[in-house]
Amino acid sequence: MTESIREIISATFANVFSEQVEGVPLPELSDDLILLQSGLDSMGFAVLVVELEERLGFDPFSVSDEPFYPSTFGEFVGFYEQHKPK
Amino acid sequence: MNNISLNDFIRARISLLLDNIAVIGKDESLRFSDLVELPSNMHGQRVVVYISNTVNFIRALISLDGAVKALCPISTLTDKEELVHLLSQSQFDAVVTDLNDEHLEVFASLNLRFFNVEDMSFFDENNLNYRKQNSTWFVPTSGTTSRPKLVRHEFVSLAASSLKSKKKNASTEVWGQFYDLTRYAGYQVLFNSLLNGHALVTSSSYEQIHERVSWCAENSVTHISATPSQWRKILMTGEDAIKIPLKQIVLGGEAADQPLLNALRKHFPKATITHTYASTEAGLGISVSDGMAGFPLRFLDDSAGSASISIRNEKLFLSTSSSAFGYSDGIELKDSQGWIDTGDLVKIDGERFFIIGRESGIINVGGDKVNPEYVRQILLTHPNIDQVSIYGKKNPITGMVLVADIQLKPNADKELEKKSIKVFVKDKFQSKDQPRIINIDDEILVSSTGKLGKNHEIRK
Repeated sequence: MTESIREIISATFANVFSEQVEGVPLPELSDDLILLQSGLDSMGFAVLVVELEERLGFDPFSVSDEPFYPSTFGEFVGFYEQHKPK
Repeated sequence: MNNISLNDFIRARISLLLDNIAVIGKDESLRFSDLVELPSNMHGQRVVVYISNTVNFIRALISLDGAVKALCPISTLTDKEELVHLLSQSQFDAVVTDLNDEHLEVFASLNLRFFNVEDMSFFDENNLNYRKQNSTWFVPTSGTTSRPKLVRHEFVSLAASSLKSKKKNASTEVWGQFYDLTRYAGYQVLFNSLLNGHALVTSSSYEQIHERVSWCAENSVTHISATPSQWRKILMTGEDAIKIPLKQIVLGGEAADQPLLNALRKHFPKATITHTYASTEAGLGISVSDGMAGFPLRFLDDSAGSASISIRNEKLFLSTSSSAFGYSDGIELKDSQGWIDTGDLVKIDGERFFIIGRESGIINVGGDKVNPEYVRQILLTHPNIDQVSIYGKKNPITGMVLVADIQLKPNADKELEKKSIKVFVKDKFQSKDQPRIINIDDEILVSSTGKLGKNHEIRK
């Protein structure tokens, strides 16, 4: 069975988090998790987007015409789901 | 206009506003009248200002300018190695600080005398009006190498653009501070507030972005100047960000890209959005408020600002009235005609020109300059690394992220070494210089050192 986008994002998030953040436990990846309060800094999110591009094969931020700056984990996942290549 | 200090300028320019609130900090707020009554007894000394509390930092600057021979404000977030490097570039007698001895080892080893900023109210009252020096201001830059240099300014060159506006009898502007106040862009925000009677809402980079944004909303901030990377973070706070009643948005320190300008326009439809080009050496260069990335080519004939602009060999040259006097080591900034080579590469497209990178290959990561050659050389000291290529990869959230492509020595274990290199990176580099993405490749091509080559290009 193939993994859903949400599962891949959650797994990649956990992976990047463990590499970029020290001494803070991984937060629960719920939809209302505020991204910039998760412990991952903005540079960490840059790494996450790059890693996800490798895993998923696309970067929704560069294909979208509308600029978008997600605030919560739910918005982040939703943005990837919305821009998944057909 | 000779021998007039920051203190004198505030008194002269906003004499009718002295009872207004000048600085709003988390713990304390000060009126302009509180600030201009600060005396100093450090006459003729060369003083490092190393203060973590923003309100105290501002008090110290106003107290010292015009009294001391030189002042060198340095961020307390500076790492030890960089601090040693900065202090080695000039002679200093004393440090004014609010930190305790354990944070002051570097200063102790240089035999500087310590003054606690809390004691400043006890300074020599008799010398209150004895401000007769044009104090030199040393401002750290990272223009040409990844190691910052000290650039020599005076208050009037640092504050040139703020001094240009007319004397104020009223102010409705409230500025939110996001830049580190020890940097050139930070001084622009600070002096613009102090010299024009605007309130400045301060916060520190120790605080979370959500806290800083809410603090601005709570205090009805109308004007914010920040880097594109900081603006992206502000936008990522979502609902909190749009509660700030912004009338003016200023972007600087990195190139402002079109998606970000569009997003700011959408979230803050009533605000004027201005992006600027400035440097610690050249001072304020150019600014434009048309919401389009890059700058109009017609600026080459008339920039409508303080700078004259020239593009030579695809590089930006500036001639400004607000430039620094030189580096602390005496190296000249300007050529014989007064032009400053900014080292920034320019691309012309249609009626606009765009800043696309540094001639030296220096990569701008969120407003911090990173020298890929410096990072490469240090990585090459790792026992199992054979070849390294460092470059910036464009990214929608932070602008640029630093990547290291690494070729290991024969027979090295890929998985094991990847872990060891990550530990090595955290140990050897300060945060801005750390490659955040490490790719282990079988073979990589390495270009000649320091030049913008295949491996140093910015990849999209």
